[in-house]
Amino acid sequence: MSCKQAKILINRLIDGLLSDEQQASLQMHIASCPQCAIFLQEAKELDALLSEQLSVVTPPADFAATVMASLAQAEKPADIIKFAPPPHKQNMLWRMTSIAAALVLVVGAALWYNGQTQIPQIPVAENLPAVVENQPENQPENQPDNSSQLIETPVSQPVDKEQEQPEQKIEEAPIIAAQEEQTGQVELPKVAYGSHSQTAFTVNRLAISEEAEVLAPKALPEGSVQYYTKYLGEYQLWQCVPNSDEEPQLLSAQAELPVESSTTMEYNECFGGNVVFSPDKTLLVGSFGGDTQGFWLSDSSSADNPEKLYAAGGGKLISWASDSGKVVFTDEDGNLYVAFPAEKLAVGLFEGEVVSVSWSENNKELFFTAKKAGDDYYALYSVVLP
Amino acid sequence: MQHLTDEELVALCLEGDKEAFNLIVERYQKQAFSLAYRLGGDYDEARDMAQEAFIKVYSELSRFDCQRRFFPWFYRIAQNTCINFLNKKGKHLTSVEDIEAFSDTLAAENTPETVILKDETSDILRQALLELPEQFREPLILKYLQGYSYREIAQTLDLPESTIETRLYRGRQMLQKKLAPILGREAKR
Repeated sequence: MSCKQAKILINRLIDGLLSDEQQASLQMHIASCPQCAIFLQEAKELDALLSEQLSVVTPPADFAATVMASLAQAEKPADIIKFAPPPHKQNMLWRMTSIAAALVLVVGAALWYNGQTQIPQIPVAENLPAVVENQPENQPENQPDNSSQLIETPVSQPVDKEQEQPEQKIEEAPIIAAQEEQTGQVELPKVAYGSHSQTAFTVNRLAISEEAEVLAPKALPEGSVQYYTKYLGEYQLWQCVPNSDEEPQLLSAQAELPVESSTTMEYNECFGGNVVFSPDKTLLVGSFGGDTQGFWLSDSSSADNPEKLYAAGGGKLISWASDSGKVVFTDEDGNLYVAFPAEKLAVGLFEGEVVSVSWSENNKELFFTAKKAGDDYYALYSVVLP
Repeated sequence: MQHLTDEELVALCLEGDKEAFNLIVERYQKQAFSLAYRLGGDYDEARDMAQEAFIKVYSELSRFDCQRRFFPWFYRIAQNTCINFLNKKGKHLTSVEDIEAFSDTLAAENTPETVILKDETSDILRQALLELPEQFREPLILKYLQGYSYREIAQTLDLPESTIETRLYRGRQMLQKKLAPILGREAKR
């Protein structure tokens, strides 16, 4: 019996679920393994502590009456539900005007500062989901705990592409259905290329953990990617080579998530939206929710006639590829989209809550951390784009 | 009305029958209050949290899916209300260093300060529980606070029993690792 198997049996022993036979073989192991003997002792102590400290507490005698008194104002449950006020009815002209005004303001500000505009960047820590406050446990080493059938998911292991679901083509991809591997197709009617360029793309999940958030990806020049997991109050820095057989390497652990760990997200709030220049400062995009919802594009020289590239928008994330040829953005739910400004085209990339992204040096691959519906934690994904 | 199921009481509440909600409060006040007290560690504060939880449940009743069981839905709201309450109050989470420092104090323990130390043990366990990811904390609380069996926890959380066993195992392992300096003290003496 291995120590891991012994620990699982100890858990069952604590809950009184061990057969006589299992109990005997556990005792044999413990007799020859001092570490498991200590583990058993501590497990029993913890059980006693939990039983003592989590016992039922009697509420004050007037508790129910106090609760009911506090509800006296409401006639029915629905009466105290807060409804959001209905959105103002606004005509399309006003919406277009407000978008234009927002973009003009930003352009004006840029000119005012004589081209020295610095787009403020959100510190990474502010973009972390609230759930990271939970302190997940992790494996002590860079190895999956796979000796036990009880273990639900290995920690931070790359997903073998061959084990992913088969590729699925979709003609129009506003949002790709949530799958282990998401695929889509984008048609780029670039006149300069002489013909349409139709290219498929595939989203791969690179790293996931059942017990820790995977955060702040950073693409490295040589093709590998670094990311953080949060474990017992500290951030562990990992590095992996996407789609390879190599296991992720633990590089370091630190108390704080470095601000420079993921700096490609830009946010410049303007008229309730997010407006960001392209790196070459020739284009301006805006992501708006509410009545002016959508993803808008404009020349930075004249922002009074913005064009709506996509109906969804309003998310906080906009990230340009460094060659200004592509830009990704999120909608209010965090779903990820990519826009090709030259082609005036945008398509859905990923359905889920995307929180941080990083472009590869050649601007072809995008790494991002996201949580799909039903997932407990953020995982690392990548997609190669045309 | 006492014989009605939770779900039937909810239906009556939605028609404006406050006595039905009073029955729900009486049926689950012990669970809500105990949860609040065990997470917050303060009796008066527990009353506020549990009261807020019931108000929240009442305000959300119209969103309850009557095809599902009431208690899991209620429990989730109560737990989230408590955690949000504590977060808003800025109750800090215990760091590993705090636990280690506390463990040093325990090493010298054989004085009348035992009672105080016991309180601190409660605090540290409570904070460690709060720091557990929800999926591991829930089965532990249902097991120890509600006294539920694997099957009852599985039914409450709508998960297979095997998953519950896994999560209890993982949750305990996390707690054991986090509280190791305290748990190991007997063996170290």
